[in-house]
Amino acid sequence: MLWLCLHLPQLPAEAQGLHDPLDAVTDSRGARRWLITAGAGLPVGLALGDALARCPALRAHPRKPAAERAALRALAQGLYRYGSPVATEIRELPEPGRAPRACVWIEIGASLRLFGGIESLCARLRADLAGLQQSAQLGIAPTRTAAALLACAGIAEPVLASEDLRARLEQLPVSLLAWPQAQLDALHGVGLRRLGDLFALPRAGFARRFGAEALLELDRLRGLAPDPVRGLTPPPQFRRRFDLAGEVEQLEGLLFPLRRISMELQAWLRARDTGLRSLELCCEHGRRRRSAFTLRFLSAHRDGNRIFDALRERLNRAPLSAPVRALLLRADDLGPVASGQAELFDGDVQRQLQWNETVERLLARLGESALWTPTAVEDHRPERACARHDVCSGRAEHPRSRHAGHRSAQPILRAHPGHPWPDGNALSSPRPGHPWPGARDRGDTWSPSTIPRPLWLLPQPQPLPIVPTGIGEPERIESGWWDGADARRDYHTIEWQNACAWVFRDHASNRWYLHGWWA
Amino acid sequence: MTKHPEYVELHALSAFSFQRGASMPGELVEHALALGYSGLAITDECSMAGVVRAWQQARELGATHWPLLTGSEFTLADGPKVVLLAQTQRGYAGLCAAITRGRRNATKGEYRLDRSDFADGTADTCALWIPRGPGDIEELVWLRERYPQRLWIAVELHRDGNDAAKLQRLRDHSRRFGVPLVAAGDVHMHRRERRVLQDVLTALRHHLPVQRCGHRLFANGERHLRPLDDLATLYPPELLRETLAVAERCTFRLGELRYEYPKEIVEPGHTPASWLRTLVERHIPDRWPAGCPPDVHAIIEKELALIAQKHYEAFFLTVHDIVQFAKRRGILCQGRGSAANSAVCYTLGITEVSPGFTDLLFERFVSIERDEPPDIDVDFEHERREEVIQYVYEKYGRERAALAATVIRYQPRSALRDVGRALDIGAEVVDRVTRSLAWWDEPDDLPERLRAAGVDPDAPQIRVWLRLARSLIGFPRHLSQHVGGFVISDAPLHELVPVENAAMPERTIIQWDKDDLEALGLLKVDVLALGMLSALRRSFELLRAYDGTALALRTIPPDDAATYAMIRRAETVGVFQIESRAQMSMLPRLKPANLYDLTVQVAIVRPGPIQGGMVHPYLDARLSSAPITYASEALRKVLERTHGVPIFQEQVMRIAVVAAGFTPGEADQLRRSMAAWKRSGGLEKWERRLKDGMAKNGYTAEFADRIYRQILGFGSYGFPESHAASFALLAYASAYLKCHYPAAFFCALINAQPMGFYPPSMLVAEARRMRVAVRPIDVLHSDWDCTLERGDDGRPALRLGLRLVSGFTPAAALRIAQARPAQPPADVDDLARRARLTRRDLDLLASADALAALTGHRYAARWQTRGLERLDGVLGAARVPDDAVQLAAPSEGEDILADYRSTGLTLRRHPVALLRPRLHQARVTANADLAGIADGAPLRVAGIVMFRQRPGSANGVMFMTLEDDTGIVNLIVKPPLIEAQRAAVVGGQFLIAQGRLQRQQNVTHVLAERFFDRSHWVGELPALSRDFR
Repeated sequence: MLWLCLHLPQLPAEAQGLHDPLDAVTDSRGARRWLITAGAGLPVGLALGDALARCPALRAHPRKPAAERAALRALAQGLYRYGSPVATEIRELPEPGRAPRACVWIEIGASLRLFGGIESLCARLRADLAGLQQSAQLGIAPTRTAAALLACAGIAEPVLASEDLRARLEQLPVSLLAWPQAQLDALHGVGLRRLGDLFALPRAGFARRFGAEALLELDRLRGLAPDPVRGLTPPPQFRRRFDLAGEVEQLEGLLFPLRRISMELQAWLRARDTGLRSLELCCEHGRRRRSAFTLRFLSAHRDGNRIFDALRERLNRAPLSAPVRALLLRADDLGPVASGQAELFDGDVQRQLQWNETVERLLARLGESALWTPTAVEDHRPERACARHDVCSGRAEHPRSRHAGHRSAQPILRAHPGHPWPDGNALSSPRPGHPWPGARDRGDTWSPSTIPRPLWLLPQPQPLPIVPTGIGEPERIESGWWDGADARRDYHTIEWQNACAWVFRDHASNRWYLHGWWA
Repeated sequence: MTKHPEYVELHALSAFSFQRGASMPGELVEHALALGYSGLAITDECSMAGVVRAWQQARELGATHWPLLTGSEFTLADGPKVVLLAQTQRGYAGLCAAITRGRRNATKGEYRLDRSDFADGTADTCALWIPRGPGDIEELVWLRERYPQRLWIAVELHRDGNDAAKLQRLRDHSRRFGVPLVAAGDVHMHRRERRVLQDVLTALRHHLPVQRCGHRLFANGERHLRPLDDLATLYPPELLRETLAVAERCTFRLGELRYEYPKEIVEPGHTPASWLRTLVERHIPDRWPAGCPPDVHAIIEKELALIAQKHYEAFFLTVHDIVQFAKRRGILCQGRGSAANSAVCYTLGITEVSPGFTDLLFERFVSIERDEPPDIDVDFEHERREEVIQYVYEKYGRERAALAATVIRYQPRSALRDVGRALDIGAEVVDRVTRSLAWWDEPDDLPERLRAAGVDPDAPQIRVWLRLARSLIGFPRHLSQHVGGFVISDAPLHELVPVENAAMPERTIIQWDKDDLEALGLLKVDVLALGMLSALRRSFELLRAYDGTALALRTIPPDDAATYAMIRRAETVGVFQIESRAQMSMLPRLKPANLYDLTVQVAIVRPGPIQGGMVHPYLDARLSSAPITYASEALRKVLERTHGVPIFQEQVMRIAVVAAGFTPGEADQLRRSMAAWKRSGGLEKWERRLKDGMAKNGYTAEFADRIYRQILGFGSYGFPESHAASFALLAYASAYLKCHYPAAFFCALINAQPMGFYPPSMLVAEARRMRVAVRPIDVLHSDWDCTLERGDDGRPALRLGLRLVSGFTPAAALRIAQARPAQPPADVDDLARRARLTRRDLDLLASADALAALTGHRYAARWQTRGLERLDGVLGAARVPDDAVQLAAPSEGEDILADYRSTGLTLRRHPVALLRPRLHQARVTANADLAGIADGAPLRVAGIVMFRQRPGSANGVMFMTLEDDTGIVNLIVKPPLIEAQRAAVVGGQFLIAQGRLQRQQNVTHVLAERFFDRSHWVGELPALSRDFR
């Protein structure tokens, strides 16, 4: 057995697409937050407050464990060709000030000869990692734990023979062990600084003080106890989600993650010994909107650069519709590299995808912006009380149109372009009756939902050519200062052009506008 | 021109309906008056916390007879929502009782009332039913039965599109049930412009960002005090007229409240006056065994006459009673304040500041002349104040005694946080901004700070954030408990003011704060906590136990030369009040030689006098031999004792009286304005008045201007002489003990921690500097507290106590002490069994190196304690065999670090001593060698950062104290350097500073020019710095 371990100290940042040293990822426990990635001269483990005091320009991002797991899995999938089994682990060290340890292991003992020796294997691996812009520390040792320890210590020089292992380990500091902090403090507290100090202790005395589990781990480290491992099995489809650090508006900002995913896909295809016929890329935008497209290749292949080029071309042709928050790439459509016939979708997910398929056909025929559902939104401003909700985003969950549709009495309205439609789901909708649940609400009495609204609301208020006279008490609305669209208006219903018009006087300009028609 | 209708607003909430009202009570009153309202009711939700301010504002605006009604809004758990207005004092008392019931039924900040609480209707109140929509008729019927002939249906129209329908519906109800309609406004703010702030408050109440509040927000800003002609267009005239009818029924005014002092403090058969006189006469022989000097007797007579004239006897008797209780219990206490330092209080034992000394004080009863309740704060030992508080509760009952409230207001930081939350500004940004707002930043610097924190202060969202946060600053946030102000009354308190739960269990507070109490003339007794009193009492006890030395506060010899010499050398670490860096730097210059000098010293080194520019003139005048010229004979009398420079608050007021012709009452208002002007401005009106008055009395404009500027500088920080005198006495007493009984003094001081300015490590260092033998923590000798042991040279040695072991418990320490005497424990196992110690206890002891006598070095101790399998004493004597191991002993550095980590101090070498070779290499001067270096010389110093101080008075300059193995050095750090090396200045633990030596009047500083952060040299020393404002 010979294990190669990759330790990925910057994974929490890389998984979010963060590469600027001023972007740091933090973990938190209660009110305490600390850095778990290094950068800008700030060490891992520094409390966020101290970090900000030392470097006010620092941007802190909370960890995204799911993204870390996805990134680690994707990386591992690309490493099958170096050996097997492949195993991954993100070891959480939850005490404040400690960073998680993300590791990938590959058993390379069997494949060493295939690659022409350890040096050439490492060189190929490093080249691959460079292509992925993945920073990693390598460690090679006859046991898995020892390889990880070397990787974490940043000792690249491999330990190839079991006989050398103990001597090499003895010099390492005990603080490298991924043990609970209390345990490490206890070791420190009796003056045990190096692994050699631990090995020298009587086994019973050690186990009595630090637990049999710790002793077992030391044994595994030295190869004195078996270390069973559950290797990863390559998944049947490629699914990769990439959360971006912020909203990316320009294509340039997407190139890095796209290249990375393309290379990961290439590695995965190679490991599976298969080719790609089409893929789907989905971009997630703000307010839960998404946009997606499918890329088809004329022939099945597994060339990462070709994938990347095609993606870039496609995005160049049709620019981003909105800032992107996350990318989702799916490759289900596979085939042998020589071309052949295959179904568009795998059979077992067929039923689930029927809805999508229908929508996709409609979208293809009508264009993306033509299809949406209305939702009621709680806002005093009438033009915001009804929101458009993209069908595309409903696709990921259950079709929302069903429950959103019956609540709203408003008809489907066309939006004027560029209108920022709030997402219906982000706002909790009013329930009939009072009071609102869970809130101290003794102040408010009349529920505005009882006040009628015209059925036909203009997408944008139109200036009213007349100044209404002889009107009664207005309905006054003053609301919305927080998003820069503070409405201060007096609404009236007047007879105009042989119909009931809903008009308002704007307080700021003292002008009159038509906002809707009563049926 | 139509005549405006008459209207009384009957339903208005102020900012004291927390997270609902968006205007201060005073703003509501002022605006209602300006709009020509015929009256206003303050009806905060289940609260009376805002009414006194409203009443005061009306009084200040001269609207003494303007109907300011008192009421409260309630939403019962089972409906209805109702506004109750007090018709008479009985009605008011009933309201207070209901509020008290509701508040005490719920957790702090909440209330809970249901229909059963109003089963009989509150007597003498008018009720306004607030309809809440369909299906609420049943509420009306329920109310009609309980409030017959005094119930109205409130019609509150807010242009929400439903007004006509609502009015029609309520008219139907009115006809059907025979309940009249009345107009009301449901006012939440005084002006429409507060709508934005009101939305923010609503968002905070719902814990939601404002953009997600939806219909929880009001649809518009109509809930303000609307102009009368606007109301006339909205409401039918008869509804507006009806408000006057309601107001006429409510004749109760807050000014009618009568407050009675408790009666049981007077002996039967006596009047309060005769009983006070009896007590004073009874105690005169205690104070003057040889007979009371006639001049003192005359003062006493004069004071008693004044007390009788103002009917304050009961107040003095109450304080006396509390002090007597403390004395019976052996709790050290001392009064302070203008009335506390009276001859009467001295005679009664409330203060030790003797009339012989206070003769110098020109205005002891100044406050009584000003028609203001007497001011007596009594300080008790901080560890035993709770006993006094419980005594008060016991004696008068919880019905009749309660703590005053303190209104917690929005500060820049809390305002930024809350508004940030409401605007959904990311927690990270809010965090970044509020964190970068170090404790010394002024709100004016905010935009600059923001830019430094990477936030654009000009971004629209940020601008809204800042603007709203600024307008929120000063708003009440919640009620908290006053540090110790008790209100005691003869009748149940809740008839006077609502009582609610405090955050602390078993504590109740009234809804008024000290300003409210003062405004209404309610007397408050301040029961305060003072750490130094605990330390002094412990010192006395230690001395008595050690060798029978009997010393007490009143028997400490006055004017001890050695003590004053020590003070003048600024060796005052641990001494009450004069131990801070600023105080120490002033002592060699002021050279105090008697108690009055100390009184000045206590008062002068404060932000007020420093900002007012009093310090240097005072120093110059004191040091120079030239005679001081006074602008007038009257001023000479006021200022002579302070060398012509006003230092005390009383002097400023006195100047206003004698030089500018103020009445004592006006002078008192000036004092209040002084206290508040930093916050709210408003001192300008006094400027004219003061300068005109002084011009009229023949003072030069230049002189008047100087006095005015000094008053401005004084601000809220001016220190009254009457307090300074009491503090000076304690400062002297602690200095005396330190000088003559340092072991006992430091032992007591450490045992009274946390208190004072210095951590135990510095106290221990100072004790050793004074040649006190300090012995380490040892399970064979240490108790919980530090103790005195007989030293080898016969002088007492200080044995450190287990209280210094971080995380250790008194109970375990007691068990150890009890297990010891029979026979010292043979080993750790034996100790653990006999003292029933847990594994955690043992680990803590091992970490503190307290087991060394049993186990040898720390590593061996930890190895042993971790190896103990059974620690509950059940397994008896059976010992599990254990392998012997040889562990290397910790290095000196490791031991030092471990000492610090466990106990915060070490008796080994100073950690910096280990770094000395490296410091030599860096050409760093040891702090002890600074004396030999010339003024202005460039040098490097280094040390562990012990303090950072950035007083508001110092123009942004920071003072920093570095400690090395030889002593301390004080650094002056100017703002540009702070900005340039912020990380090192704010966060560094061990610094090398390059700069220049500055020496003025024997005070040495180093003006820092550059820092080298070498915190990693001291590795993992726990943060030692205490940062002070």
